[in-house]
Amino acid sequence: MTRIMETISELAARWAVRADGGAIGPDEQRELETWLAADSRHRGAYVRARAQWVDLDRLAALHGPAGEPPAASSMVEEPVPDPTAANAGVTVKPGATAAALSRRQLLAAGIAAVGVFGGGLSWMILREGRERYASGIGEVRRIALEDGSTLLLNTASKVTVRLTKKQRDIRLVRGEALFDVAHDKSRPFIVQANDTAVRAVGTAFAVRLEAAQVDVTVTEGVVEVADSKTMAGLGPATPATSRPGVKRVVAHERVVIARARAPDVKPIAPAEADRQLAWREGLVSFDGESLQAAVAEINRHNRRQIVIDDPVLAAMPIVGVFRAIDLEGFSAAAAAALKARAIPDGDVIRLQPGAVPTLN
Amino acid sequence: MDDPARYRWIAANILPHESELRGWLRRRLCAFGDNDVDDLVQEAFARIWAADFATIRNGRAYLYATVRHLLAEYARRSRIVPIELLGEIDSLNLISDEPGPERRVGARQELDRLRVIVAALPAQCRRVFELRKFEGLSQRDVAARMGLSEKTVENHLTRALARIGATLATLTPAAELTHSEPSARRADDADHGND
Repeated sequence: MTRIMETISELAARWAVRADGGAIGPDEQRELETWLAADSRHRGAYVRARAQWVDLDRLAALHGPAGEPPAASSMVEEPVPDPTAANAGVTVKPGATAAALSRRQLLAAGIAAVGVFGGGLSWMILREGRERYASGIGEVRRIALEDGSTLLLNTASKVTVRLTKKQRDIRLVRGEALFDVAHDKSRPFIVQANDTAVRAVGTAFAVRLEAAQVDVTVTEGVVEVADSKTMAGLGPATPATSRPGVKRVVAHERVVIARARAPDVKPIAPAEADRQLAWREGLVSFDGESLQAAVAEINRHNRRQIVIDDPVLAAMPIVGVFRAIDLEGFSAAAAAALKARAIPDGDVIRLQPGAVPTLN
Repeated sequence: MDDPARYRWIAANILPHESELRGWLRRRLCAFGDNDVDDLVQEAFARIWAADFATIRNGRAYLYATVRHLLAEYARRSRIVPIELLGEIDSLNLISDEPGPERRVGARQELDRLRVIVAALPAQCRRVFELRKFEGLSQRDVAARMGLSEKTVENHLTRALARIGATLATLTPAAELTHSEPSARRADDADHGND
């Protein structure tokens, strides 16, 4: 049975889909304008529908290749991964999936561009059996591996992946990644970051590589952490929990490995782990960190940078959840919350002490 | 800013605060039905669309300020708006963008909820939506891929967007669940726009 009347929201959704489809003729355009002019609620509902339609692109950013993990054999080397070139990052794949894949990557580029200053492109290279995956600035990228594991790359991160019959060998070259490991006892899943190796059989954990340390947070199951040499000597699937130099880290624990120091394992509450991993959803979350630390985090996700001009301001605490690529929103919110001013200044936004801007 | 950029701006700065606003309106405007909340939100979006975004420093504050103006107008035109509400919206912390605990949960769960909503779409509708949104196919390519008419593809996408929009509109932040009983719809809805 056809419905006789559509609500304003439903009509707005139809127009939004039509307008987004692009093939809206002059007659239809007139019809749309007439409808929009008839009632201010029409305009509002239409704007809302268009914005929601755009917003749904965020889902695509997290949506990995649906049931079609990237097969190594079909990947083609792409020699110039220049994230600044407008058309870079489009991997050429033979066969029918080429269009879909490049469209997805273009789409990913579009999503990064949603942040006013985001715009990194993702790219893949096949080299000596080792696949490379990278995310651009402001991009969160989900990658499905052949073995059923998934990895989620935070902003400006890079991993290489090598899957053999004996071992799943991942290197975190830069940034941060969350690993959701498919259970496979015969092939341990080993992530290396600097000289640290993290080994899992079936579990979920995040690894963050910073200049002076490696930070591992386990959300499910158990992993073993050791330096790369020790790990290499363990052999496949050894129950190495009691060996010297091997640290066992279980769910809801976090370990920080700084150079020349013993690994420091501490419990982490699930809510706190969720907060730290808010980037999975394209968000960053702060719970009393200093403005300086918060700005450092948000700057990781953006090409444009925030600069704090005042040490007292830099030490003030920030609470809140923000979109990682919404640099302007963050600086405006921080300015408002801390009675500061956010001043755009060329390539940077300056935060300075000052009065709260009035609204009306 | 061109129109697509303006839609993105709305998506990034206004949409995240909509369900919180609706929850607050539903709780406070007991005399208002869901249709009135819809009207108010739609009016607010229309007003915001007309604004110069470059001057808006805080989307949430601007949204609430807009709603406050609208409520004051409604009150002047003797629509049913309890006067104390205007005082209350004044006392809301408009400047701070710090979400309360329920909002922080909301932000975390927002994408999960979207995923659940998409997953719950009828199979063909969902497939069409995924091809268009996730694979980035044009509506024509989706039609060709699935052997459907373009009109049918448009219908599926419309249904997907309308359902997602409606579900998000009715989402109630966890902390408000005790107040979420649906309020009675006003019967005399037909007089909108005549006053």
